[in-house]
Amino acid sequence: MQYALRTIWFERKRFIPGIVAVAFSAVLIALQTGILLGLIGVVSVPIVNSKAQIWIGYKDTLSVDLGRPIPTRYAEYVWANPNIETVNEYVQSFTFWTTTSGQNELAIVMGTNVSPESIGPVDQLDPEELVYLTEPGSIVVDRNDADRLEASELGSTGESFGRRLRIVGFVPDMGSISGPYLLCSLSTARMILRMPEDKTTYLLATVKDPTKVDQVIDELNAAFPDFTAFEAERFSTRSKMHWLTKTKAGIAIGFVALLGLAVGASVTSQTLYAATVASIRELAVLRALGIPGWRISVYVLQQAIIVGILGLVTSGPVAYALAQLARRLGTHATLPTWLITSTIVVTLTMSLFSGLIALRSLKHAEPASLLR
Amino acid sequence: MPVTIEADNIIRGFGTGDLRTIAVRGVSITLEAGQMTLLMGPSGSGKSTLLAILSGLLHPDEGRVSALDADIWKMSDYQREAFRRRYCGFIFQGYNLFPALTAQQQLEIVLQWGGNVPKKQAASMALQTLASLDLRDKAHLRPAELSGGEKQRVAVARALVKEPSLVFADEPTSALDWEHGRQVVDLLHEAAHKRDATILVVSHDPRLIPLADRVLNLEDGKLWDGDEPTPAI
Repeated sequence: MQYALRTIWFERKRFIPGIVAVAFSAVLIALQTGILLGLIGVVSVPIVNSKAQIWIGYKDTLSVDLGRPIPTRYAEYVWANPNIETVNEYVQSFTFWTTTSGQNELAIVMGTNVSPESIGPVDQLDPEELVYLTEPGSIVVDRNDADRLEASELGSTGESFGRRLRIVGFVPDMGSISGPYLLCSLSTARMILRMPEDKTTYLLATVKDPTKVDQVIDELNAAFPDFTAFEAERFSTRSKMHWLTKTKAGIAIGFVALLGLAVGASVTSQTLYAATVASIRELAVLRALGIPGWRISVYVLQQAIIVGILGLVTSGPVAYALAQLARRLGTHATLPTWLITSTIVVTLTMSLFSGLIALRSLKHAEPASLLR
Repeated sequence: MPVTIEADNIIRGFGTGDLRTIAVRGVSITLEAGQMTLLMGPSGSGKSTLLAILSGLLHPDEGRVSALDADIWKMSDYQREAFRRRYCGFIFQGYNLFPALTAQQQLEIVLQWGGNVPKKQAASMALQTLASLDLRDKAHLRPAELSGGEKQRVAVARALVKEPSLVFADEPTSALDWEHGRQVVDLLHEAAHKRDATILVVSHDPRLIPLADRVLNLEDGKLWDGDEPTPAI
C-alpha cells in the first residue's frame, strides 16, 4: 500500500480529478437521497411527535396522511385489552386554509387530545400552548409555514371553510411537503372537518409493558379484522415507503445515484488509467524483473481504493456543509447512519470498479517494448 | 568458467509476407559466468532482439535457448516469469525509475514485490547495494534530484539488488556522457567478476570494447566473434 500512497501523494495533481470525482459522486448520492428522505420523512411528523406506541386506523392504511374515519366506539374494545395503558383519539385530514388576502392553501388538520397527559403529536408544545389549544379555533403551525399562511405573528388569523382560526403558537419541526400542518384540539379539528363526535381517524395507544407492544398489536389485529393496528415506527416507515414508491421518488433517487456513479466512475477510471500509462515503462521494468502481473494489478487497485478513501474524506465536510445550507433554506436533509454507510460502500465499490477498468492499461507494460 | 547461457541456431523475424524482415539469422552463442560480454553492432543489427530472446522476453521463431541448464522457451509463461524473477536482472536504455520513489525504494519494491522480502530486510539489502555503487548518500533522493549518471547507477543497483546470476543490459550508456557511461560499465564488469554473474551488454559504442571480457559483433542478424574480422556488408 505504501508505494501506491507515495505515488498518489507525489503525483497528487494527476490524481486530484479522480479524488474530486469520487467526492462529487458521494456528495450527490448522499445529499440527494438525504434531502428526498427528509422530504418524505415529514409525512410521518404526526407519528414522530407522538408518544403513542400503537396507531390503529382503517384496515391496511397505506400512510398516516391517508387515514379514513373509523368509529370512536372501537376505543372501548382497545381499552378492553388488559395490557393497554392509554387510548387517545386522533383526527387527521386535508383542508383548505384561506389567507387574509383570500388565497387558498392546502393544509393538513391534526386534531389531538391537548390535555397534559396526551399521547398525541404534541411533543413540541409547551404546557402553555396546550392550554391555548383548548380554546376553540386555536391552532399551532410550523414557523417556516408562517409566510405561506400569511400569518407571521401570534394571533394572526385565517379561515377554513368559513371557520375562523387563530394561531396561538409556532413550532420548529412540523414542516410538510403537501401543505402546512394545523395542530389543534380534537373539537377544533372536528369543527373544521365537520367530522361527527363518533368518528376519529386514528386511535392512539400506549401499553403498560413496552415489551408487549407486538403482542398487543397481534391481539388487536386478530380480534378486529376491519381495522389495522400498527407499531408506531413501522407505521412511520410504511408511510414513507408509500410516498417513496407512489411518487416514483425512489426511481428518481436511483437515477441520481446512477448519474453520480457514472460520472465518478468515468473520471476516476480515466485518472487511474492515465496514471498507470504514465508509469508504464517503470512497470514494464518490474515485469522484466519477473514481478508477477497480479502484484502490479494490486498496486493499481490500491491506488483506486486510496483515491476512493480520499474522495470520501473530502466529501464528508462538503456534504455536512450542504446539508446545513439545505436546512437553512427550509429543506431537511436526513443523513442516517445506514445512508452514510451505503454511500461509503457504493463509492468504494465504484472506485474499485474504476481501478479494474484501468487495469487494461497494464497490457502495454510489455518488457520487450523497452528494448530499442 | 561454466557456460550459463547457450543458444543454438536462433532465428527471429518481424512482419509477414513481403514486409517480413529477419532480425536474427541463425545465431548460436554461449555465455559464461564471471564474464562481461559486449554485444556490438550498428543500429538495426538485431542485437536488442537477440538480448530479448536470450533473456526470456521475446520468443524466437526457431532455435533453442538454455539458461542455467533450463530450456527457457519450453517453459510456461508463468515458469519463465519465475525464472526471470529468480535469476535475471535488467538494465534498459532509459532509467525507467518511479518518479515518486527514492533511490532506496526503487530497490525495495523489487525485493518486496518479487521476493516477498520483509520491509526491514529489503531496506538493508537496498542500502547495501546502493553503498556498493557509491550511492549510499543518495538513497533518500528521488530521480528528479539525481543526475543522469546517478539515475543509471540506481537502475544498475535495481538490477543487481537481488543478486541475479544473469544480467542483461541494453544500451546502458547511451544516455550518459563517457565518464558516467564508463562508470556504469565498470560496475557491471565488477559485478561479473565479484559475483560470478553472467553479464551481457548490448551497445554500439566502440569505447566500451576495452572494458569487456569478450566482444561479439552482430551485423545484419549474424554473429561474428570479436576476434574475427567484421565482414563487409
